[in-house]
Amino acid sequence: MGKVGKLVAAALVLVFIASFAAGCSSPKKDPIKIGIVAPLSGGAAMVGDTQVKGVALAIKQINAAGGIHGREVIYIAEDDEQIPAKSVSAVNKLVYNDKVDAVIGTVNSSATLANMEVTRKAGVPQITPISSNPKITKLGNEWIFRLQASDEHQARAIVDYAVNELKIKKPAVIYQSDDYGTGGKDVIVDRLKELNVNPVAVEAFAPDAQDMTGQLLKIKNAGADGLFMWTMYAQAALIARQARQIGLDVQLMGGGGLTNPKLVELAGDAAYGLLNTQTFFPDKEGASPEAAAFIDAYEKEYGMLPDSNAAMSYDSMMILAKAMEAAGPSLDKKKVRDAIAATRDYRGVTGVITIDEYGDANRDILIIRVKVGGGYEVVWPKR
Amino acid sequence: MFVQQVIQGLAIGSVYGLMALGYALMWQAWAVLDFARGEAAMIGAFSILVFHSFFKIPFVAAFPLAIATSAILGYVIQWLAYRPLIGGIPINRLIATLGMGILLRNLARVIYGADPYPFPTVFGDKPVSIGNVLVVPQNVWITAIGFALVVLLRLFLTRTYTGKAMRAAAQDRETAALMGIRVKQSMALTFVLATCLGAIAGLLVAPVYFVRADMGLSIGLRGFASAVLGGLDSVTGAMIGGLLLGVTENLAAGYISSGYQAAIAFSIMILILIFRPQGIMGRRL
Amino acid sequence: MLELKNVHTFYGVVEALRGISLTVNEGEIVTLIGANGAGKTTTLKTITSSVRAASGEIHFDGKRIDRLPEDEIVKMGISLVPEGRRVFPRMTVLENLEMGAYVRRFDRAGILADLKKMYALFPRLEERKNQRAETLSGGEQQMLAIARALMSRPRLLMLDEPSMGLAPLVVKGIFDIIKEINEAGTTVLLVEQNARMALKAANRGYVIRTGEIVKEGDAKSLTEDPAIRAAYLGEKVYGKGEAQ
Ligand SMILES: Nc1ncnc2c1ncn2[C@@H]1O[C@H](COP(=O)(O)OP(=O)(O)O)[C@@H](O)[C@H]1O
Ligand SMILES: [Mg+2]
Repeated sequence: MGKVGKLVAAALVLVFIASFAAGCSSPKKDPIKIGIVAPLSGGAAMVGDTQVKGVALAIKQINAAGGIHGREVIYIAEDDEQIPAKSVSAVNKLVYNDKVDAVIGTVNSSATLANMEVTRKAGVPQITPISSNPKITKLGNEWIFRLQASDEHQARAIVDYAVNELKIKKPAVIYQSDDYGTGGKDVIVDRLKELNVNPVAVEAFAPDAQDMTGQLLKIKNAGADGLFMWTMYAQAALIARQARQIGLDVQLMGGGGLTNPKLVELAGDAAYGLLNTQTFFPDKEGASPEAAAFIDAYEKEYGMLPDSNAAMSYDSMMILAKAMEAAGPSLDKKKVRDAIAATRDYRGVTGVITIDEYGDANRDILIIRVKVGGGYEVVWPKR
Repeated sequence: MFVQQVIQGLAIGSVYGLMALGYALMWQAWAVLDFARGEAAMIGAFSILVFHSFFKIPFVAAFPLAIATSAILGYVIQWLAYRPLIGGIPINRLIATLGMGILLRNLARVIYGADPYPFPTVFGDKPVSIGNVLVVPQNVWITAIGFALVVLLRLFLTRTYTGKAMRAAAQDRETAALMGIRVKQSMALTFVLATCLGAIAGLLVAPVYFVRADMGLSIGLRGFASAVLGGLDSVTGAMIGGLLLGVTENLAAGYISSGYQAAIAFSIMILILIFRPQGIMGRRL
Repeated sequence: MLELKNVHTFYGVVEALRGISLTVNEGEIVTLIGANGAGKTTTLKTITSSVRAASGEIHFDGKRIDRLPEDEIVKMGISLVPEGRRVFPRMTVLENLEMGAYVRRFDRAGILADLKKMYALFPRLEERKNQRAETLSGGEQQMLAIARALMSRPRLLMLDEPSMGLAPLVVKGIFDIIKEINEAGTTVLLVEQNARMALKAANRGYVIRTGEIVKEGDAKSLTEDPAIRAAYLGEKVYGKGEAQ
C-alpha cells in the first residue's frame, strides 16, 4: 500500500468509527430481532420463500401498528438448504451472532429436529410453522413449538377418512425417504393396522427424485385401490402425472404438504380428485374473516395467493408477537416461552389454535379435495 | 412389469445420456469435469418456457429459439469463466465450474423464483397400450431424439472438418494450433455444443419433470455418473452409460428397494468401474 | 526465403533465444544443430508463432511474420513436424492427414490428390489409413507427422529432431524421404541433435548453443571443423559431448 493508500484507509477507518459512535449515541431503541431459518435454495426453496413472505407480512403489519412495546421488529433470514447440518449452523449464527429474540423455522423436519437443539441450549423460543414430524414435540424440548397439526394427527385423519368413508381395502403408501416422509408413513401404516387394513405396497423415493415410475409400477402390480403419499406438492404433482402415465388410476391421498395452487398447475387434470388434510387453504369464500383478510393482504403484497406455509408462518409471527407483548418489555426469553405455551383459543388465519402440553397446536383438521378444473373443496367434516 | 420398467428406464436414460455427452465433450476438449453441466439443462428448459409459455411462441419456433439462446448463453459463460482458465491449474478449472453451477442456479432462482413451472406436453403424455405394455408417446420421442442426437453428434465429430478439428484440439492443443486450427474457438464451439445438448435434454424433460431453478442438480449428477460409467472419452459410451443408469434405477426401484433406488444404481456403477475403470466404452487408461 | 534477425524469446524470465539470426534460401536444406536445451525447438516455435519473439524480426518471402497468428503462418506456407511427432493419437491416420490440410479444408479435390501423393510417398500409411495413429510404430508415426505437415502444401518444411528415438535403419529411410521432398521443390529447415546425419543431408548449417548461433557455414566446412567434430560428431554426441 502506498502512502496515499494508507491515508485513504486511515480516513475511511475514522469515518467508520465516527458513524458508529453517532449511531450509538442516538436514543433510538434497538429493534426486536426475529431469526428465520428456512430453505432458501435447493429443492424446497419455494417453501422457504413463502415462509419468509408470511413472517415478513406479519412483521410489516405489527410495525405499522406500532411494533412490540414500541420497538420496531426486524427479521434476519438464513438459508439452510433443508440440510440438517446447515440448519444448525444457520441457527447458531442467528442465536449467537445476531442475538435474535426468537427463531421461526424451519420447513424440513429433519432440519428442525437438528436445529432445535441450538435454541434449547441457548434458551431461545422457537416456533416451527410447518415441520410436522411427530418427534419434534415429543423429545421433552420445552423451547420448541409447532403450529402445524403434527403428521401424526394429519395422517390419522386421512387414513380414517379413507377406510371409514371411502372403504379403501388395498391401500399402498409412497413416501419421501427423509424424516418427514418416513414419519408420516409410519403413522399411516400403524393406523391402517389398527383398522385391520394391510397396505399392499409401501414404497420410498429420494427427496430429490424426479422419476417415481419404478415405484408406481410396483404399486400398480400389487393391485392397490388407493395411494397415500407423504411428500410435498411438487413431488406429488410428479407422482400424480406418472401414475396416470403408467395407468395407475386410484384415489390419491396425502397430508398438508400437498395443498398448494401449484399442485394443479403442475399436475393438471392428473391431480383432480386428490384428497389431503389441511389446516389452511386460500379460499376467500369459505374462509374465516381473519383468513380472508390475510389472503387479501398477502395477495396485495406479493401478487400471489398464500399457501398454507405462508399462513402458518404468519400465525407463528403473530403468536410470537402476542407472547412478547404479554411477557413484558424486558422480553425475558423464559417469559416469552411461557406466554407462547399459554396460548389458548387464538383465532389465527389458520384456525383456532391452542398450544398443548407438548408445544403442539391443537386444531381441527380438514380434508379437502382438488376440484375438477382446479381449486379445493372441503369434504370433511361434512357440512 | 419388467418390460415396462425397462421402457421407463430407457426414456429417462436417454436424457441422462444427452447430459453425459456434454460431460464427455467437456472432458475431452477442456480436460475438466464440468460441474456446471447440469445447468445447461436448466438454461434450455427456462429458455423454452420463456419463449413458449410466456411469449406464446409456437413450439416449432420456440424450440430453435431456445437452443439458440442456450448456445449464446453457453458462449458467454465459457468466455467469462472458462476461457480465462485455459492452461491454468486443473483444480482451479474444476472449482470454476462448481462456482459457475452455483451462480447459475441462484441466478435462475432470483429471476424465476424457486417454484417449479409446468410445461405443456408437446408429444402427448396419454399412455397407449401395446400388448401388456403402456407406452407414453412423449417418452418414445425423448428416447428417439436422444438416439438421433448421438448419431448426429458422431457424424459431426467424424465426418466434418469442424468436428474433427474439435477432436484434434481436444487431443493435443498445441499441435492442433500448429495445424492452423484456432484452438480457443474450437473449444468455445465444443462448449456451446455441450450446452446445446444439455439444453435439449432440459427441454425434453420440461413437460415431464417441470422447469425449476435447481433442476440441473440431479440431472447433472446423473449425467456425470452416466459419462463416467460409459467412459468419458466415448460419445457412444456416454449414451450407453445413460441408458444403463436409467434402466438400473428403474429396475432397482421395481425389484430391490425403492428407498435405496439411487444407492443401488450407484453401487452397480461403482462395481462396473472396479472392473472397467475406463468405463464401458472407454479407452484403457 | 526465411530470415530471422536478432530474435529474442523468453519463457517467463528465462531467455531461451538470445538474438538468433539465420537465413534459409529457397530450395535449400538448412540444418540447425545443437545440444539438448540449446534452443532449437524454441527457434522453430518462434517461427510458427507458438511462442512470441520478445524482440527481433522474422521475415518470410519478404513479409514480416513474427506478429501473425499461427494459422496465418501455416497459410503462408510454413509447416512444422514437431518434436516427438505429436500425431493425434485417437484419430485415424487419414484423419491426421486431413488435419494437416485444415487450412485448405475447402479444397476437396486438392486434398484428395495430395492424399494420393502421400500414400505414394509412404505406402505404409495407406495400409493403415483407418487405424488410430496411436497404434502405429515410432517410425510410422514419424512418417505420418511428416505427411501431415506436407498436407498443408508448405514451401518451407521444418522438422524438429525427426531421428529422435528411431532405429538407425528407420532414420536413414526418413532422411532419404526428406531429401526426396526437398528435390521435389520444398525448402527444408532441419533441426537435429544427430549432427552427423543432418550435416550429410544439408547444404548449410547453423550451430546453436544456449540460445545463440555460435557457428554457421556450408555443411562440408562444418563437418570438417575440428571444434564441431569434437563437440557434436564424436562418439558421445546426444547432448553429452558438448565442449563448453
Ligand atoms: N515451456 C518452457 N518453459 C520454460 N522454459 C523452457 C520451456 N521450453 C523450453 N525451455 C527452456 O528453454 C531452453 C531451450 O529449450 P529448447 O528450445 O526446447 O531446446 P532444444 O530444443 O534445443 O533442446 C531450455 O533451457 C529449456 O529448459
Ligand atoms: Mg528440442
